[in-house]
Amino acid sequence: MKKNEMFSKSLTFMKIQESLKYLYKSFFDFIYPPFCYTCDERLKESERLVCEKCWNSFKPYEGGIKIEKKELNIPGKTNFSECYLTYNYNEKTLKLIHIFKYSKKSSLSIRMGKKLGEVIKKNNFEKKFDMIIPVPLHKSRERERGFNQSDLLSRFASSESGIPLFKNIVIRTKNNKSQSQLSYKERIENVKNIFRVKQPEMIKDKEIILIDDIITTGLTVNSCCGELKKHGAKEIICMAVIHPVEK
Amino acid sequence: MSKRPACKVAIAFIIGIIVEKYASISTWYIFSIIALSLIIFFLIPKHYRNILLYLGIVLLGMLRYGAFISVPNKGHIIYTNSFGNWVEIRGWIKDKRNYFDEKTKYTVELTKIWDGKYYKNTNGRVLVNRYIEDNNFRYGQEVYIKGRLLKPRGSKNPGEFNYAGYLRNKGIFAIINLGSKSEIRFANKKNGNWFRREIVEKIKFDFINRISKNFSGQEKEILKGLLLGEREGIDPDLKEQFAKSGIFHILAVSGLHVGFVIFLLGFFVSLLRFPKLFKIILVILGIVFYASLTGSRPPVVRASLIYGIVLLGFFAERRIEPLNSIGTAGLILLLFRPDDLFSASFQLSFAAVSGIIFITSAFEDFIGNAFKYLPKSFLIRIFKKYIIIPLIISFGVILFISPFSGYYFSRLSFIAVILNLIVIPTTGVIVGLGFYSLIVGYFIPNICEPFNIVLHYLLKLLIFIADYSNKLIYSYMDVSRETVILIVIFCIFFYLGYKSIAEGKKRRLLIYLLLLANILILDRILFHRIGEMRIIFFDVGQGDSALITFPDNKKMLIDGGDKRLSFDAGEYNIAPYLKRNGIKFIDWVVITHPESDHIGGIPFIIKNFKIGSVLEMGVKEDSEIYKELENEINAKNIPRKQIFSGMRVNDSELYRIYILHPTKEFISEIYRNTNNFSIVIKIVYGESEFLFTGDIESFVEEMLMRYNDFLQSDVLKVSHHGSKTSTSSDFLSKVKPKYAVIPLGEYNIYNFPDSSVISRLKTINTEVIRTDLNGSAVFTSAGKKLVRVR
Repeated sequence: MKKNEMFSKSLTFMKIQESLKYLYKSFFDFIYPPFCYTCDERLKESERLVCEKCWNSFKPYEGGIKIEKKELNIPGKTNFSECYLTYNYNEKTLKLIHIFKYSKKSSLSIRMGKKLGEVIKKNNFEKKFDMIIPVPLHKSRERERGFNQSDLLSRFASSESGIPLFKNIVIRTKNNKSQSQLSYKERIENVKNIFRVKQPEMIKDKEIILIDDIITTGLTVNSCCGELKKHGAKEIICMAVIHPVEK
Repeated sequence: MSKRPACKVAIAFIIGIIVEKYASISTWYIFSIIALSLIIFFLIPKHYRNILLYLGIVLLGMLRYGAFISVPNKGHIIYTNSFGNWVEIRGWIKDKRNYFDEKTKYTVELTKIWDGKYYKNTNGRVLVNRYIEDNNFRYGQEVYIKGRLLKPRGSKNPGEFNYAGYLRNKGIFAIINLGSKSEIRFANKKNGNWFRREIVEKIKFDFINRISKNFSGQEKEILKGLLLGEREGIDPDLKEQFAKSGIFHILAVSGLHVGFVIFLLGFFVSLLRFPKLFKIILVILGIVFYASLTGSRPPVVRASLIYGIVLLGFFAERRIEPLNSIGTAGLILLLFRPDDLFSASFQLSFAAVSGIIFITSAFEDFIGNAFKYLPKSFLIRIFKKYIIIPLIISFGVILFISPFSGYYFSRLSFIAVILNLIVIPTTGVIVGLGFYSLIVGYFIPNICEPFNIVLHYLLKLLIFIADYSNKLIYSYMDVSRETVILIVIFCIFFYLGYKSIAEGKKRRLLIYLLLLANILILDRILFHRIGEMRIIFFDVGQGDSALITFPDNKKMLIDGGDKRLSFDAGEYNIAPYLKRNGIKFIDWVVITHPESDHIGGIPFIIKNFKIGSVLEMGVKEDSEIYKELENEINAKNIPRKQIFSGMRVNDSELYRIYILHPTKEFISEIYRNTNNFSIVIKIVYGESEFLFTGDIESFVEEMLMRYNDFLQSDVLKVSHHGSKTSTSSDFLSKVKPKYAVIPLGEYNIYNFPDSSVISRLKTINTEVIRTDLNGSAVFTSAGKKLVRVR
């Protein structure tokens, strides 16, 4: 008897809770109508920011895309062995990254980070590699943005793949300008000596996955890898979400 | 669900408000319609229900507006029958503003009113004007006031600023002007919101005191305006220069300032190591505090609300649809104060925000593409970020607010598009430095000296820009309402036409063109009635002024009202009408006689408009205002003509202007005052006849009896503001006017109009039109039937 009563009570409670939730949601939907960022279609109940259809359209490559070093634009020696991407570059995926970074929708990182983890698993990297390191942002830039995009991506990639994440091994010492605004020559100068390894003993003879959000010319990750290599890292591969090809 | 639900609902709500304003449908009708629609709602198929839903929102808008403008509760001040009488009231000061000309305005929240025997409870707000500068802290103070309770006047002349409506929107229904006989006493008791009185207003008071200590002159006043919204102390001439340059918006605390404050708060908050939610709450609290610091002025509240909605969406990580956000803000604001919809400030705010949204979305791709092909160099980057994008946004804002500023202020500013690039960052720096100096200066006074020097020069720069930019050619343009409406119509049709060409729909283009042609023809009919004469007797307070537009589009201004300490009939009553109607040239300005209440406003008109000639009868007066008038006439080299009875003013056969008085012989005689020299004019157009009598007294009226039946007129401008010395029965029996217009001020000290004059007019069945009660009077005639328009 008692159990039954309790059950019915909690049911009404749940009903109230649910209707309140519905009210809250419809109120928010009225002010901020839920439409997909990338395709402008109305979102379903369970979707947020980007619709399922669009997410599915992003992933034609099961094991990630491996890009050749010559596709990147690095002068001289590259400091990493391989480079993987999760999504093919197109208008939609670029928009996705822009929304994530500049409209500061940090929740988008869950899906993308998990995808990175999946790529890691598909290629059986979780057995070989010891740690995931995100490309650091400068302190003031991170404070300005509120988060570090590679940090968030790495977090979910790590939880998906099981490779431990180490955040404060490398730091960015110089608040350099955003690469996207610069010409190629300026870019090379811009990324010189901007990273510093804080805990060299941690990376000695380790195999590392370095994660960034976008790899364009590869100069930034290369500079970071160079710093890691200098302090004894054995092998490094880079991973990112997209690689914009500039025409 | 649509992409912008809030916009749709807001538009439905707005339609409801507009319908209720102009149709004023009774609440019971609306209720019954709602009941009926509810029944229909459940009867009709589902896919039609949406329309009914919007209808329901329209009805809600009607209900809300009806409830808002309905008269307040029973004890309210508007129910007293003491208007026009001396009253004793008690209340507490809700707001105090110091004005430029050493005037202080209090908004007093009423609690009690003396009804002859005892104090009775009452409520409502009274505006109290005091002609002394009051620099003490007054918010929440209880006061006793003795004075004459006046009703605020609505728009006195067609299209003029509606002061009563403006005050009503602030909940003010009565005015008391403190003079020599009236009295204000400050009690020791305090009232009002504790937090506001003891914290917000005290901080503000301290801020104002320190600004006054560190700055002087107009810089002080502008800084007060920029930081705290206390812009009443700024010299009206300087305000006018800012308005002409199109940068007045920086003086009024608005979205721009709230934006700067949020930027500063955001910067400050980003230095702290708090969780995100905490930071956003801090910023929102900061905005609320800033809004209350500025006295929660409507533009600040509007801006804060919009920023608040954006911040909330940002925190909830929602996709923010800009138009939907401002739709939500508009809806919330109109729910609370539906009457705001009709205020220029509200319309300008939302036009500006829409302009920014429109232009950024329209030019986003364009800019991206344009800069793709340019080399990525430092200079080009700076050029794009600090010149091109701000220029485009500034253009968008001006584009959208121009119809409103043209409609309300008869002015379009072009130079503002460029000026904004300098003025807005300067304002930002001033706001930043100003608050820094005020807040840090509170703890360490001396550290701010260098900042104050920088501020001083920045403020000087603002004044310099406002002063010089409006003198440049084509910096601004005066436009009539007709022009504004036509430009807007052309823009809409241009857009529609462009769209139909782009979509290749030629038949639709043709329909648009035909529609445009129809509108243009309608415009000719509405605004330029061929062969129509129009006469307006201005309401200039205690004074006299009338403007006649003849059928051949020539204009005659007879007298120009008064000029007193802070009032110029030419500036406030006549010029706005002229500008609004696109009148730039007046053929004849008639000075009936050189008394202050007839010539006071003319110098301003001469200064700001082109004049064909000045007609006068030649008697001069030794007064300041007459000297000013002569100086203006000489400065602009306007021909002066003496006119006597028997002269003809115009050559046209269409209508006649007769001068009945004075004769040449009469001028050479000497009388006590100039009133009897007044020029008497009779205007005849077809069957419509008008008689203007200046300030003549009955003895001149007797002289005029020689014209006999020729005196007969449809409209008589009653002589000498309805004084008993004029408008004799004999004279009236000859004139036999259908309408008698008496130009005079409310509660004038001469006790005009005399009751005997009114009764004399009533006995011959003349309709009496008093400008103190009716506002201005407007007549039109096409040569046959006389029509009273207003």
